Amino acid sequence: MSAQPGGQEPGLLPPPATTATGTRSLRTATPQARESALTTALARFGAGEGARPDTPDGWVTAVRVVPPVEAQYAPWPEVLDPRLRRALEARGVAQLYSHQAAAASLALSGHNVVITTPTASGKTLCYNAPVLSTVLADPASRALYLFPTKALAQDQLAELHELASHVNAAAGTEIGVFTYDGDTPQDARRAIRSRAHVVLSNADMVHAGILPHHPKWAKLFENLRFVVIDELHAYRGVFGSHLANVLRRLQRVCRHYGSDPLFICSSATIANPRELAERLVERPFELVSESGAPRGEKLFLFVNPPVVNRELGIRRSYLTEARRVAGEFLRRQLQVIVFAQSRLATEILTTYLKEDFEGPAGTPETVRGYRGGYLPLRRREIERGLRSGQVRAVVATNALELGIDIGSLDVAVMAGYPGTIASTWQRAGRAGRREGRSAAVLVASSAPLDQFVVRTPSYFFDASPEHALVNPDNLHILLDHIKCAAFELPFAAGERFGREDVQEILQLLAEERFVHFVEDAAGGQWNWTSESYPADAVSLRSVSSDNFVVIDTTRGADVIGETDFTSALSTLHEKAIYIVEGQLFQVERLDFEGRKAYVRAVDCDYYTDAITYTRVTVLDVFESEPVPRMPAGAEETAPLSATALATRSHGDVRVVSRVVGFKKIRFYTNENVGSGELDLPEQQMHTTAYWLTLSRALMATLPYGMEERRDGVIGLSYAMRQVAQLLLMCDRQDIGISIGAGEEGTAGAGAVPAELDEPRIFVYDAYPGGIGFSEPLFGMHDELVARTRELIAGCPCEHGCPGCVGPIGEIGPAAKPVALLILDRLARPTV
Amino acid sequence: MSARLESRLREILRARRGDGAGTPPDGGDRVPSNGAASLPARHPTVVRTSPDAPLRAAAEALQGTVIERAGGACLLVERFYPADHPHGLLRVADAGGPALSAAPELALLGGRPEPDPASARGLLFIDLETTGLAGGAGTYAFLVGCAVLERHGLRIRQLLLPGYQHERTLLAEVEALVRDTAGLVSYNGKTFDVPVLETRFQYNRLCPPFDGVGHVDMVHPARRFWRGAAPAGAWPDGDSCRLSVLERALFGVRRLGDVPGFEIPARYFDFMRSGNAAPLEPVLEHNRLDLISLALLTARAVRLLAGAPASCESARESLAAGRFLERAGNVDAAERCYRDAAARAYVERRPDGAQIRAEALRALALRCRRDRRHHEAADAWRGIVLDRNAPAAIRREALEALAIHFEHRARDLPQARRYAQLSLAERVGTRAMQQGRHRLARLDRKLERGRGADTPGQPLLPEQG
Repeated sequence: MSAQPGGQEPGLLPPPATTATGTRSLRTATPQARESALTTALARFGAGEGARPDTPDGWVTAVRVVPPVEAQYAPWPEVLDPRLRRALEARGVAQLYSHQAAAASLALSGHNVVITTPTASGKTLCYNAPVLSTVLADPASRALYLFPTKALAQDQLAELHELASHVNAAAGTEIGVFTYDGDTPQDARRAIRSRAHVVLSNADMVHAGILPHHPKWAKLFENLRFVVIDELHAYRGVFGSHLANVLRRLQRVCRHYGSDPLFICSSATIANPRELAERLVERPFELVSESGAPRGEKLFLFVNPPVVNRELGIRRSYLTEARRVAGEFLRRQLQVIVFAQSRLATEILTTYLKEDFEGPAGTPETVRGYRGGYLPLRRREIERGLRSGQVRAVVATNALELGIDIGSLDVAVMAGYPGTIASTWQRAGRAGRREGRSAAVLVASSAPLDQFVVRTPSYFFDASPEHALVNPDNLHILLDHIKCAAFELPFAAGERFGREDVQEILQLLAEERFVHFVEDAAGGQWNWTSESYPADAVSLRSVSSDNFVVIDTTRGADVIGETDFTSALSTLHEKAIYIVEGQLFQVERLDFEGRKAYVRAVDCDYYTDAITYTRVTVLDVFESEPVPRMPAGAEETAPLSATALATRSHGDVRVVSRVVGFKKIRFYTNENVGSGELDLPEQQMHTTAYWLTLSRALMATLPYGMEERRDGVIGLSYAMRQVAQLLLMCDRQDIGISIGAGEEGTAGAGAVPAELDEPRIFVYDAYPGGIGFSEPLFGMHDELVARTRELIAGCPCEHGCPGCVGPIGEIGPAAKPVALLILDRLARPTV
Repeated sequence: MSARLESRLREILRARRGDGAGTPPDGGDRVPSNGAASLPARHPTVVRTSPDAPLRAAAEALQGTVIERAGGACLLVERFYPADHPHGLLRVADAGGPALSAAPELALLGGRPEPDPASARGLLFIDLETTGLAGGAGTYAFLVGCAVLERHGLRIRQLLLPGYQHERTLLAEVEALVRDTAGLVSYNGKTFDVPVLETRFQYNRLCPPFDGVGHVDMVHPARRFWRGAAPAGAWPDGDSCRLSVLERALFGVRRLGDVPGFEIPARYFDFMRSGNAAPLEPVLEHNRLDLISLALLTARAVRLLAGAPASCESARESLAAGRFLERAGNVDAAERCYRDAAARAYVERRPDGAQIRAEALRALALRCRRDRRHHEAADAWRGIVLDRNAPAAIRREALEALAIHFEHRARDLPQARRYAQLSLAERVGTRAMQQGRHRLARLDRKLERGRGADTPGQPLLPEQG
């Protein structure tokens, strides 16, 4: 990593002047020139000297200056092996930042540590130092590193390998550092198992490749001293719930081999890093959260695209606006990263920027796209281009949010609010140098969440970031991992799995003949009695393990990408437009059974957007309570059903969804230029939901007609979804919404029942079994109502817009007042 | 467990079964209902009598003995097959007795490390039955079958694991057997049996005893010698080199009531649940038959190599013997084998005859060229070119070799040009085409010059090939 000037790890002395030539010359020539280019560009946004208060025109809604921070150093921890210290000093690390020293001391004195410090603050040394120090002191020691992606492991390997070779050269040791993942050649695996002191891997490999084969890894497990989990915040929702169970299995295997490793985790800034670490590892943690790394000044701007049609509440397209914003920086030779919200938006923006800034075909590609689904070689090439400065702009999804080394860039432009405070800071951190200014610009889309954030900057700048939620006890996930664990080692009678008492689940698995109980002197054990290799049937990324490959048949048959099962039906249906780096493909055939989509390159001016219908059925109510709560005494005088205006509930539901058609949408103008019907299979799942039931009495008090009331409920649900997403720190696709009249709810344009007598608004977990959103949302009901009201009331549109109750044209003009009226009734008891 | 939780769990398990995401647990449904094999075991039956009782019962059912050691127990079933015991059309005596262990040809079969021919101890034929094919910590070797050739017959010892908790005892027995051998012989054991056992040793935190022990895995020689020995299409899975297929094709063995491989783990799981060992008897018998076939197969390969090509009965056997002999440096015997194979393949008129003939002629040509017998090599290459059915890749190679031969060695430019032209016509890939055109152009230039002024003495650059 330190070989790249741009990726210089803080904590190291500044590179000698000679390195400022070569690849670096491709970047903006001097820091001064860059500084003035940045100032000029920012001036174009009315940001002036950077300290101006919020601009009144509503276009730039916030300008905040994140002040520069001086480095905080700390003395070398005494417990650190002096040979490591000498090797670090020889590499130019004169002293440690305070957080590095604190993390190393804690870990070396037997504590589990979680570190939350900003991007590029030298966090890798926080775990590399204690690990290498321990290996130096006892060469038998082993460590296992987990990264959320293979790419990150490769990236870290380069850095750790270099540090280890310095240590080896200086101390005459043979510390082996290897990655072990799906790409590791079969013939190298045996050697790695015996020679690696530090194994860099990922959760999937540990789950399916290492734990089931633990006897082959006996040396690692017998001597495992540290488990390092990088980018801990990436493990939330489904992935996190799986990881917690993988870690239960890991710790079980360690106990078998008599080891008891410590855990060192690093995380982006979230509200509950320690809680998340403790939930995932089920052990107590110490938190290190004060970064000692220096930071240059950063300007943070919020841009709200101007309203172009006040009547309809339509703003200028945020993609167009992001294109313009990125252009201001790009044309001043600044290096820019643009984050888009979806793969589609990534491709659209890449197309736009290529058009604006790239020469004719054949000239070097200075604008690149980057997202999941690109093949690894293409990704590595783009990363190299960014580090060398050859690539001037990259348009990426969150795939580049994690710590892949791309050097530090001048400006980060976010096209659309990333969905959470934590990941917004993470993305903003992609721009920034240790000295000199950098900028981050958030361009809001017309989605309600974006509108809420840009109109209420204090929510973002002053509130704590979100909580990361996981549900390790999701029955689907738990059951899968109990099978895997039973395969690895027989469960003893009375043995627990993490916090769980699993004897009853094992009893059921015995009925299904997966395991068999044998009594012995020690009380007995559950033996695995199945031929299967259970880990193969479990994917950590989803509750089902399928994916689709995309095959380009224009010339021959090349695999050009892949898509997970859940989104395949909505993105790879026949006639769908599939986009890779601006190149358009049309799906010619979807082989559902074979999990393949055959595409052919096309030249057209539209993309497609699928229309999905959803139906929700309540299976089981866990908790239910009238809202708002009646004043004391009222409950006694009137029966519940008569007084309750509404009811909040959470419980188990069944969700059935089907992609019924698609719209063709023209690039640039976003006009709807056609549509098509589709006949695709239904997808069913059993999950959990929170729902709000509006009583007949409440609906009756609304001075509006039937249709207007219906519009109001639809508008209300539209806004509620956004706020729920905000409160839950989840991605848009993590939750679904549905409206129903009786026991059932439906969603999708035109699918809402015409008569809503006693409507219910469902917010459901979009994963089988649920990942723990419903109960917290039930608990946050009051805040959900209050924030939704704030969102709708604060919107300047006249009759509803995409920023509050949904685009006019899809709902009637009464939606906004009706929704507000309902929220008023819900907020205040009417006694 | 609450009724709701239980019903949710049942629903999830049902759904898993339905969507095929999980393999059916142990193939319980596939066990045919021939009495004891499919005992209903809906609930774990815990045997509360003395722990010895079921063990003794199992030993009785399988006519074995109980070995107690290292705090556990395992079952030993020992059988002796006398020399005249029939196995298909052969007899156990055809395995050659203890002398097989000392046969120098064993080393040619590719055992690394090689079995020790000087060892006073014999070869150990080994074959496992396991609880699955996936490998990993949850795949157990529940039956370890071992066979040793003795003066008057074949002795088979089978170690049966009475329960997972007894594994260390079984492994101690395996270790004793492995330590006391000149080398192992297995069928696919390098890929499967030994790694599974290694995992079992490591799982029990014991050191696997296989390092430095000679090991001949017969699956590789068998593919060389006998792929296609069984009629094509006769085996639904298309693997004509399964041991059971070979024994039938080569030795005329017909197994009656043999338990199919996929059923074996389920029978063991049933035994674990019920304690009834009787349904395991066919599994043990299956394992014993595999071991006898393995011993006979090994003996046959050794005999083939010792007397090749006279000992060979098919073109493929001759070809394979030639390759093994050539690799071992016995080039004269190898060459005789290649000639024999080419001739036989022509006569045999089997579907893969052309392929085998071409391969044999190619091996012969390369052999001759290495000895600088270029005219003999050219004859062999020509044999390939003349065969209309020779595989395209080998034909291309032959045409090119002939073009080179006539250009540089025989100095017959018109012939060289003819082969170069034929070769160009059959080339694939732009690079190869380009090279072909270069050669043709050069030959044309030479021919042109030859017409004007003959330049025979001109030094020609020797070409690769």
